[in-house]
Amino acid sequence: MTAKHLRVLKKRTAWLFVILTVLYVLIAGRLFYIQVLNNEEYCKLAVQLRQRQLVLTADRGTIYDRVGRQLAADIPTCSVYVHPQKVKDKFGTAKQLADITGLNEQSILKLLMSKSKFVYISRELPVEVGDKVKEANLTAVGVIREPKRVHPAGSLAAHILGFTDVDGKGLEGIERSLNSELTGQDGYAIAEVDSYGRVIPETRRGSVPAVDGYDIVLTIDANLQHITEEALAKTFETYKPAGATAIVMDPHTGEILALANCPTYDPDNRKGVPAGAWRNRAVTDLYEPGSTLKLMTIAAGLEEGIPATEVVATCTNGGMQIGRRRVRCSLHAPYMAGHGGVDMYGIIKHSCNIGAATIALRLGPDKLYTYMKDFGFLDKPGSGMAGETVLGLASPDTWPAIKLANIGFGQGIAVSPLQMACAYSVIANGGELMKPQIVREIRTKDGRVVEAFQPKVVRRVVSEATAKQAIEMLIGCVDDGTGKSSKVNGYSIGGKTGSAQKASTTGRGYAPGKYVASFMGVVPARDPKLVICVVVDEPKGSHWGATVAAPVFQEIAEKAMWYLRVPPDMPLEQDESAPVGVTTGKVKVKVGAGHTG
Amino acid sequence: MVERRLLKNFDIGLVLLMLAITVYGLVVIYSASRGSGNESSVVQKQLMWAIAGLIAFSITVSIDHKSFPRLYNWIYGFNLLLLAAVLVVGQAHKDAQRWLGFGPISVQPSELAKISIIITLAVFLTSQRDKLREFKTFALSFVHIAVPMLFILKQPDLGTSLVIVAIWLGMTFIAGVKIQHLALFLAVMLVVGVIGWNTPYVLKDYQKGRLTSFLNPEKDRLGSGYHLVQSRIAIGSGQVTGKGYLHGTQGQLGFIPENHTDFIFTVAAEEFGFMGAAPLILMYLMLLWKGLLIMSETEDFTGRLIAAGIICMFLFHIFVNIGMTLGIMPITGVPLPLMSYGGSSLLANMIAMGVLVGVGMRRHKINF
Repeated sequence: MTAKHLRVLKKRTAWLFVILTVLYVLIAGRLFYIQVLNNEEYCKLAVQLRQRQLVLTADRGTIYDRVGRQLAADIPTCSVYVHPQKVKDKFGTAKQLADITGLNEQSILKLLMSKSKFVYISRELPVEVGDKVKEANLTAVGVIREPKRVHPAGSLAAHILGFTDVDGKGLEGIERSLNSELTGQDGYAIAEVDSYGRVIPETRRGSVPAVDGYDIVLTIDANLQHITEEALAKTFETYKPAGATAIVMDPHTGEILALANCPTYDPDNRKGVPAGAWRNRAVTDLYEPGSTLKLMTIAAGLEEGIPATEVVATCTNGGMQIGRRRVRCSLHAPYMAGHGGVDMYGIIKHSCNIGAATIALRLGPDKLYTYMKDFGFLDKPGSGMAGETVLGLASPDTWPAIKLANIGFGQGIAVSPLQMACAYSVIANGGELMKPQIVREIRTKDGRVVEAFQPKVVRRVVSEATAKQAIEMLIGCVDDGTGKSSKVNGYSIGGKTGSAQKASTTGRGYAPGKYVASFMGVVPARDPKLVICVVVDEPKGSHWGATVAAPVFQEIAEKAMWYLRVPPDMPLEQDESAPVGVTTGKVKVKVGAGHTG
Repeated sequence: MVERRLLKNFDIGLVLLMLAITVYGLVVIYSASRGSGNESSVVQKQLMWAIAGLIAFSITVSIDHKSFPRLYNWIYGFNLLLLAAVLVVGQAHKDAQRWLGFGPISVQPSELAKISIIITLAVFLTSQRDKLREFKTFALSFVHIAVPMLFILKQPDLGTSLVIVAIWLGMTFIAGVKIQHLALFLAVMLVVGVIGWNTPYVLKDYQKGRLTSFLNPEKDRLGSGYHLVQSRIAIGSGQVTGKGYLHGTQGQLGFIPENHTDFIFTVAAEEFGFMGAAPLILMYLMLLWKGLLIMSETEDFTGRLIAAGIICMFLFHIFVNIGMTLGIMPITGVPLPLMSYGGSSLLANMIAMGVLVGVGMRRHKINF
């Protein structure tokens, strides 16, 4: 080794010491900076990375019928998600997920190939499937619980219940009108997560618990509801109307025991259902009631002192001249015009337009207006169901005589089926207008009552004596008048048919061939338990209330009396063709037994 | 047999440092692999390799490096054979074919290749001692390492390839080649690097991403910058005193990938804080410093170069690995010597320590 070479070697060795020192200063300095000088910032970042605010989902309230049967409730479901970029074995994961969930392996693989950070493999899977996915312990695959609204009774009471959107917000029906009561308040908790976003249970802290939504108990009785829907569906099928409604009400409390509309839908499967199908026609749709309103005119007349048995008018084929217009009765057999001299019983029995018009004219516009208002036709019923509609009337000062006469027999005024049910309840309960009620109770999940709704008298409309007399007239109508087809063996029935022409959509006159057939009935008439109101919009084939609507009443009334164990108040007729309990509306229908109003 | 008079120069301090770092490593590996469910077997495996390493250490420490010239062809040839075998029958893991399987054991020949290269390069440079300042010698020395390096690049193992280049640069520098030649080489590397970077298929996208992301890790926090940001957050949040053994949050919750191999320092720094990390890098400093002292005191040229190569290897590994966890070096997948989980690496490092201590024992020329 030369001396020069030795010098070079020494120099270079010294350089290596220098290089080592420099590199070490770099590392140690950096470590000191990160861990000692600047550690607060990194601590904050570490916490940020780990901590998550967890939402503790509040349960939405359950909707029950009056005896505690679940009509709408949340069930837990599982949603499976994945962080696609963290999946190592994409093919294996896809195969395993497909095996567990039964989904298509290729479409799962596509999701796993996704560039996004978070992808749902599937939502609203059964909890068992979710548990199996959890057990499989797949990398970067997670399961979260999500509630789903289900309807254990299927489409039963669909229009009353309504439905929610995917986020659990009520869109229709009770779900909408009581959305804030049903919706709970989500809680929060802070917890640490691992790099896959999985919560570390022990780290959960500082939680604000979720407050569950309130349960709703409806006044509906699921059995009566079923009876009502079944009976209405029959007429809906036979007469193919545009729509139909039936309401069963307890006249003494105003509680709605059943309320059905056609067409209907399945709230669990709303795909492809036309929007009209989920309209609650009972409160949203107004119609001209026609003859069924004559009872209100008569009751007003009685209350104002017109004797029930006074012959108020003489009905002839020619009808009755009012100003330049003519009021006529129906020209159809067998109840065609020419009823002769009629008293109030006769007016209801024969559905005489001229008689009803005469009473209206004798009352005058102010009084008739007041009674229409008192019977509840000019205000929203306030049932608590979403979408109640009311039209009202022009000021009575402006009414010409013909308008007064028309209102007297139910034309020129628009009401909802629910308003009619309430008005007939006035007659059935002895003269008081009850506030209609669909919600019986609001209570917490553990059963504490938050609010119990008591029957509420809105006002007295007519005296008890008047109501009694009006009931007798309704009984006469069923016994020996247009309402015969509503008879129920063993029970006194009071009722009134209606077959009103529909106003033309052009706003002038009436639409030819378009009718609303209806029947309003009370059962048992002498000790009313139920008011049943049936309205059928634009039936095809027949437009008579007696043909289209009365059989629906008859079927509901018969089954309801049996279900409610109401003792018969009339001798049972031993009719071979119609034994009790087997009678259906169809058997007793006498085609053509109706009358225009 | 090691002669008694040699034991006088046996550097027991170096051996104690090696053992201390290895034990530190075992302790941290246990914590880092927790949650995988097999932390005990991971530690057991590493312990077995440590024992094997200690046996290898005692063998190599007793071999006189003066016998290496005679073994030159055998060592160089056996190394190439192993590396060729990897390419032919090697086991692949995560897109890289780096392992040779022997029953339940798999070894990574590229780890052992580093030592073979150090020894053979030292022998080669000694043989060319009089022509070291010639360019031809310089070029031949590069060819000497380039052959095994190409095999390793093919696996691919960019990290180890870079280690070999660092070893070669250090050894030729210490041997006394012309500075101009080294500068020329670096200039050529720069040009080749720029061209290679812009030529498709030379570097894989993930390699490029790793190499550049340390410059701006925030840009792609969840992609290639992910490891760097996560590692710094873990180290920083360890603060001065650490979060406690087994109580690291980032490391234990899976925010630190490869936490028992490449990012073992991160776990140590998070759980033991500056109070635990600083002594660790201090131990490495002492190890390197002692190595440098051995080198500077070794009168024999071959022994000196071998020591230089081993020091350069350790220095490169330590600086690049810790620098990576601290965010001042790119991710190259270089393990931390004696600490990182991995049997071949531990074995190779202990063999290297054996060679270094052996050189130190024989640093003085014996004149009969």
